[in-house]
Amino acid sequence: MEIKVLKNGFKMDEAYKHLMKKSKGKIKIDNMEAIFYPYELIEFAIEYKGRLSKNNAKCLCLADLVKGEYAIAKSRGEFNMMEVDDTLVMPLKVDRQELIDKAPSYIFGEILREKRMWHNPEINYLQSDLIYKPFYVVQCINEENEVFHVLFDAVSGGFVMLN
Amino acid sequence: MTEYIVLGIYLIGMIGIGVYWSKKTKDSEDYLLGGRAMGPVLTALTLQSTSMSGYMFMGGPAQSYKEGYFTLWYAVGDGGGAIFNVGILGKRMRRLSYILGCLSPIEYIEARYPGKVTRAIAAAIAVCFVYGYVLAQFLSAGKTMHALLHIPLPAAIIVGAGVIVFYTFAGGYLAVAWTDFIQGIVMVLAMVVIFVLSWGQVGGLTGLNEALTAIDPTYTGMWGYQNMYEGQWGVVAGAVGIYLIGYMGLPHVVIRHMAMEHPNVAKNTVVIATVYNQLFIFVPYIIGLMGIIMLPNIDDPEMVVLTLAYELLPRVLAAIVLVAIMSAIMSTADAQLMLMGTMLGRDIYQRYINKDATDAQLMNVSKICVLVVGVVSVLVALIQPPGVFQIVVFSFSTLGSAFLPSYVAAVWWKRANTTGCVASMIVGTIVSIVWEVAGLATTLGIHTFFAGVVISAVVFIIGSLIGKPPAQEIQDAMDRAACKTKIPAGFATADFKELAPETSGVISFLKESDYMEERGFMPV
Repeated sequence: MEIKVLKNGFKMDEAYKHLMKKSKGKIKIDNMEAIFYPYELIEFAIEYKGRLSKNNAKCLCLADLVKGEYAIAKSRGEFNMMEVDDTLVMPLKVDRQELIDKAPSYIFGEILREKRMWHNPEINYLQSDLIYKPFYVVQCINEENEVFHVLFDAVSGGFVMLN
Repeated sequence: MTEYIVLGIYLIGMIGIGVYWSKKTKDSEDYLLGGRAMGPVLTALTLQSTSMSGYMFMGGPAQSYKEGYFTLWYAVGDGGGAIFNVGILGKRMRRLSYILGCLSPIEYIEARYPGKVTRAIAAAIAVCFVYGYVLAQFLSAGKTMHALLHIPLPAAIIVGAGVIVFYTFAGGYLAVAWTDFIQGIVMVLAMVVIFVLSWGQVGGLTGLNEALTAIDPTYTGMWGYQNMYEGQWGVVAGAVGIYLIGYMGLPHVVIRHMAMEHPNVAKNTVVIATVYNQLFIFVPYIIGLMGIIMLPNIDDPEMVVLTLAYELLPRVLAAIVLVAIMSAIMSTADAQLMLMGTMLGRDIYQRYINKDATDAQLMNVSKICVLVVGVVSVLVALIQPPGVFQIVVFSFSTLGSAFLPSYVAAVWWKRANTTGCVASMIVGTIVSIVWEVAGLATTLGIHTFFAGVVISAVVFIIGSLIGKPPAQEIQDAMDRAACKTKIPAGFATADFKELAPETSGVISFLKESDYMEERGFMPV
């Protein structure tokens, strides 16, 4: 299937090197495979009235289409259209429109928390897009021959333990 | 007049910094992310210096003025508090909160101990006793205004409360991380200057001890002024323990574990916070001791630091110190008021009263709650003002008694369940209140915190043994949080916060699909 994928910061061999460097060579990497995670990238305009309009801004929200969680995106990012094996693409578990509808509430909470503003801005929907982020599932072996798995973010280079 | 000019210039300066930083970020896409860019040094100093400003300037010095060296037991515990807090909860709590997908400490309690009433009880207790901190800030603000503007205390309390409520509503425009930081630095510098000047006047440690002994030898004893706590090891244990382990029960403190961007930040923040504590945590208490000698006839011991500022510094500098103290108090109070407002709005009103509440309704409820809290605080402060130290210690004791067993067991005991958590929160709170109201700390010689935490922990264990074990999903989450597989150090610190939801989603997908088997992986 063809999907819109965030541009890789780390190809598979680069991810391998990165993990080996982080582990200072104390692990073996046994297996590594790509997986594509779905998001809705939603753009909103945050608008205040009158004198407060100087605080107007655009806001990008990344909505996780599997867990239904939201995050504020730092930038739109670059994308490639890619033909990938269906079995590498994680299915959507949340309704896209429902996530878009609820996003303003999340953004409102973030404004309250981060900006300490007790005013109601208008949060107006501008556009949204279904995108996928590439990850690698990595199987590692430690010095005691125990197997563990890591999820590697191919865009940022961040990773977490899966076990 | 000098004070008014200093106050004006200081406030204009702070507003200027706020406006400058707001302009810098207003057009950028990191509109909501700017404040998160602070590193561990700024984070630690800002948190440490502004989180308990009223207590640091008034409560602590006043208590050592009244009780002598005994009060240093509190400082001893506080010196190691950060290490205990992070050592026991630290990484595990951070991991588990991300695995469970929680952002707030109340959500975390509900996710780890699911149940219909868990969140309501936790939120109600948190709101009531975080209020104790707010009240302490209101009183401190009033007393600072009283000293700064030379107006009667009741009027000063009303002005101080008005300023805090105004600042809370306007905080978004006036307060940015840097203003908090600068205020924190000025506050610490002020404290150090007063300390150094007083230290010279009393003749250092030797002079201080000799003078105190001459007034009353029990001031320098370990049992307090006139041996008021003689033989009461339960009180000593509580005084040390409250700040040594008590932080683990405070929702507004444990949230820092959950909010850290990266475990490395947590580790560095702890180191800095611990060093900071060793350097500064004893200072307010020792200033209180020096106040016994330098200000023997002061009416209100909570005014020790403020009075010393005027006695030791030129008028303009003293005014700057007082304005800095007021600003730091405002900064602390506005964060706590906002926390209360949002807890009342989201955790109680939206959850239990109006599930379909719009954002505008939620905002209005939160605003009304902040105003009500302000009015009630002014009334309490005017009618029967309690001491800042007593309020903070009581709130701390109750929150610790209610939440400490639940937060600690959440990551260390798989059997810990909702029954234990709910029973412990209720019993811990009741014991703490009864202990305080009935004066059992004095009668039985056991500190409220010590009694509350021990009884709450026992109830937690009994409740958990009686109740159903937690769901397998929660037990699995605990296993993941414990991370028993031996992994290289570089991997242990690479647990990126922003990947928490994806991790959970990917694990479910890998378990439900044939992805792993088809590609020759071992099962997750």
